[in-house]
Amino acid sequence: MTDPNTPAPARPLPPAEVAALAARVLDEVRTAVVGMNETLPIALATVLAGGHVLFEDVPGLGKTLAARSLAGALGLDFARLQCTPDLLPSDITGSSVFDPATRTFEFRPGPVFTGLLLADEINRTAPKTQSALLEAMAERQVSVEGTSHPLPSPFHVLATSNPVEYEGTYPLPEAQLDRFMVRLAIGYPDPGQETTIVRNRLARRAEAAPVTRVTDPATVLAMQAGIATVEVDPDIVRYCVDLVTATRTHHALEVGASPRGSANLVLVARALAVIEGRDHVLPEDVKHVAVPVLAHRLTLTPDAWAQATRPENVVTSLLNTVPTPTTVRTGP
Amino acid sequence: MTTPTTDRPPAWTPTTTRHAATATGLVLLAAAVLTGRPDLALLAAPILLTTLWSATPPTRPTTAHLHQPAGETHAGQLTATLTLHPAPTAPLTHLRITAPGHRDTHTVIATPTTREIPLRLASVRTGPQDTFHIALRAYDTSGVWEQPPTDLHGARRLVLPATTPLGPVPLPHALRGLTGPHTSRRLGDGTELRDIHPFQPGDNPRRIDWRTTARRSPDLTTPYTRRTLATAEATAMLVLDSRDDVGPDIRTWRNHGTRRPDDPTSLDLARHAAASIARQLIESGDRVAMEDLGRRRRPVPPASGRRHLRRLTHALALAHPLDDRATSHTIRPPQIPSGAIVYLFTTLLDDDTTRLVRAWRTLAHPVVVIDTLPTLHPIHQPHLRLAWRITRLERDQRITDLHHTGTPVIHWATHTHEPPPRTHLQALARRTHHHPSPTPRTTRTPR
Amino acid sequence: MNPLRRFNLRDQPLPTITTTTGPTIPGWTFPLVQTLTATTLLTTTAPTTWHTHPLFLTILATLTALVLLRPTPATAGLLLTATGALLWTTGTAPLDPRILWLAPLAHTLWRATWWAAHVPPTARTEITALLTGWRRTAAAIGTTELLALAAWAVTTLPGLEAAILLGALALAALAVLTLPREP
Repeated sequence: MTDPNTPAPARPLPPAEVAALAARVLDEVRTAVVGMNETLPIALATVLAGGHVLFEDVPGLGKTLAARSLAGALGLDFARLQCTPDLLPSDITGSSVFDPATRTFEFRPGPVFTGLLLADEINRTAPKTQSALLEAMAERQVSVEGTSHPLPSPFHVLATSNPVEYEGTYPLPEAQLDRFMVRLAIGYPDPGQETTIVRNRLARRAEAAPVTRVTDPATVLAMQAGIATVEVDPDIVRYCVDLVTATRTHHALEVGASPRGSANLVLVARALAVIEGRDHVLPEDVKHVAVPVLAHRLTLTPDAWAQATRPENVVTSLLNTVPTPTTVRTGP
Repeated sequence: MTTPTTDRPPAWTPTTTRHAATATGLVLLAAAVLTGRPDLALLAAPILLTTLWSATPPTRPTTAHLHQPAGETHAGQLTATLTLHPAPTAPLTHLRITAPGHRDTHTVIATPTTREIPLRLASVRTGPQDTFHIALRAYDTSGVWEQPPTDLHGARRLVLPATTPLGPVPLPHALRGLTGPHTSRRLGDGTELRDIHPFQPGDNPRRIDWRTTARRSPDLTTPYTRRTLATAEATAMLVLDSRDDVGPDIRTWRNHGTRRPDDPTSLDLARHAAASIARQLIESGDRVAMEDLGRRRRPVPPASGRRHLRRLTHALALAHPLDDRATSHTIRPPQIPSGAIVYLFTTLLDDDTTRLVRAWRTLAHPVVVIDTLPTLHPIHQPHLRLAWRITRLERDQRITDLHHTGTPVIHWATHTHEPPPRTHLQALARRTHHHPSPTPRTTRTPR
Repeated sequence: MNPLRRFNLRDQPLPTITTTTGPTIPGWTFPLVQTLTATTLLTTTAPTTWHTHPLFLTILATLTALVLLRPTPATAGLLLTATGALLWTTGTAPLDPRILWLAPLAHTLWRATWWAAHVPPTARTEITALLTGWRRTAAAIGTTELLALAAWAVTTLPGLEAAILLGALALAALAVLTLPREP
């Protein structure tokens, strides 16, 4: 049996091929999901950059459908976890079962042993269970009863959370939020898109919207390796670091973004650039992903919080104040 | 924090002192010459000499800036530092410092060099507070030149309520969740032993009680584990009735007159009570939410932790009556998380809050009403005394009704000889602890 | 009931703003000093026989009240001129030696009037603020005293008229110097 944590090193795909595959994945997802033209490429870029995605918006906007369709099109093993207040850590990680015949304990892996885990309504579960996911997301392994079990690769978490419902919700702690590479808000579709959604539902005559598989886990790994071959201009790296550093001195923020924030900013911007068919990163890519990558890592001061300041607005204001690099090469 | 500075102070202007001194000098001089009496001229000589000395105005204006400390402000800590940068030959600065509810302060101080003046308000009020307004005037040594008044405005500041350490406070009967500071009656991960049970998938193998297993299943076919009671947490909802803010002086009710800043009002008491109870609950690991009856905005969701306490304190400080309309329109009962205890902070001056309490009691939420009406000052006017007598009778009736429905009412403003509110809260907490699941006693229906 | 009383909420005075300054004196000190200096100047320069005269007492009260109620440099100048007139009628010609202490007293009245004009009775004034420019005041008064002594010495010598003329010219030059000039 091969160790799933150390797969055979994937042959990196050239960026152009990655872009073509990503376009096909997005097209396939769009057969099921209407709208989300902004969010879907960022979600895919995050997965291809090796990160985890948090969808946060009001119910009924298709967060779960988007996550499920993305998993289907990418061809990853998919497991869904409905988070409830009484969900126990062992319900996620798996637990030992006693076998009376052999008088031994046998480990039964939980839903976390999959390629793409959809944690639905993650903020409805208790902090103890949320933190069980933390180790899985950060270390790509779970420790059950003193033994570490590595998770398969690729392993990505797409979580959804609901900001409105406050009864019986446990806001994700900052440490847990930092583990998510991006937090995406979906927003309401425009009337045209909403009409399409209703028509599609009527034409489908079923709730589920199946998507065709475009890639497989090995291809996803190869795409990830292909993106990793793309170089990033030092000016872009400095721009990302400047943006993140500016969050640490902003007057409305108590805690700014971590160095993990600046690293993730570069990684998502690069993946997005490759998806859009470029082999170099532009400052516009960084600006495009700055709000999803940084906003959830910021902690407002109680004063700013009480005055209903939003971290998204803080990031937007920083994008307008931090000088954009101009010396970046604009073409090959 | 903002540091207002006098922007472009006006130039120095001569006063009438100079003309008057010259005129007096000339008149006396003429008299001296005409009468041949040099002593008449000498009478005006010192005045003429000192005026002559101040022939030219100071070279640059006197400037000032007001520094207000950054960070959180608590009640009784409204301070600021005034820094004066005087002109070289203008060592006199006249300050007129005003603040709402305070007497105007006039001070003439010597400012030979840059000087810092610490200022402090006597206000014990919380919430958004207007601060200093300083008018500044400067004079040269002999009063011949003066700089017209310039104004400095201190920024409006948010004063956070202080907290008083409390003992145990009442908790809901039904505790929720699987983690927290209290032992629940549910099975789960905790420390208190519940029972011994055959091993099930999901049980921790380290919890296997090998002694019991050896006794009950000698061939080790069924291991037995020690199961524990889960821990749980309580959720409390603080409902702040900020529709009205009344002081201890009945003449200031309904926004008449000025309220004394050294008398805490009902909202100050409510903020203090709510912050103290929130601190007690959060420090013991429970979850606290907050709802403001005076405003239509999203409630503060239940959470725990120190940062949440700071957010609650800020939200409490920001709660204030919006306009007169807020007191007249009927309020909708706020949604309460299931199984939560409600702490209602109100003056009980109208029937809306008692209606809310009745609605919550119907949904089996335990409710503790904290009466935040301040102890009133003596009333001397006969018509006000009569009005207060009627209002008090109605209020007393409401309190009696609440007691009959099993809702405790705790007066937060107590006299020194009465037991403090923490004693009442402790007694109440002890009572709910001994009777874990009391149903609402509705032996006597109100009215 | 008196409507004013109904809205008079200030049963106790409102609290004050705490300011940290050096030792201070209250603002009502200046009208007090004004009263004392004004009455002293007028009564000492008037003949003793007038002290009980109703007309003199009326003038005394009027002038003192004027300088108290309207503490402007003009009223202080008027009072000084009145003092000069009394000094001319009662003083010993050609130079009354009382000028040696009347001149500093006149300056005190002048400054007290200035302070009273600028500082309300409830205000506090730092003692160091009162003492600012004391060197300048001392120099001015010292010069006056020297001039007075010189004039006193000169009046006892022959050639009085020429000396008076010289002194008058010097004082006229001084007065011209104090005239406001447009920059």
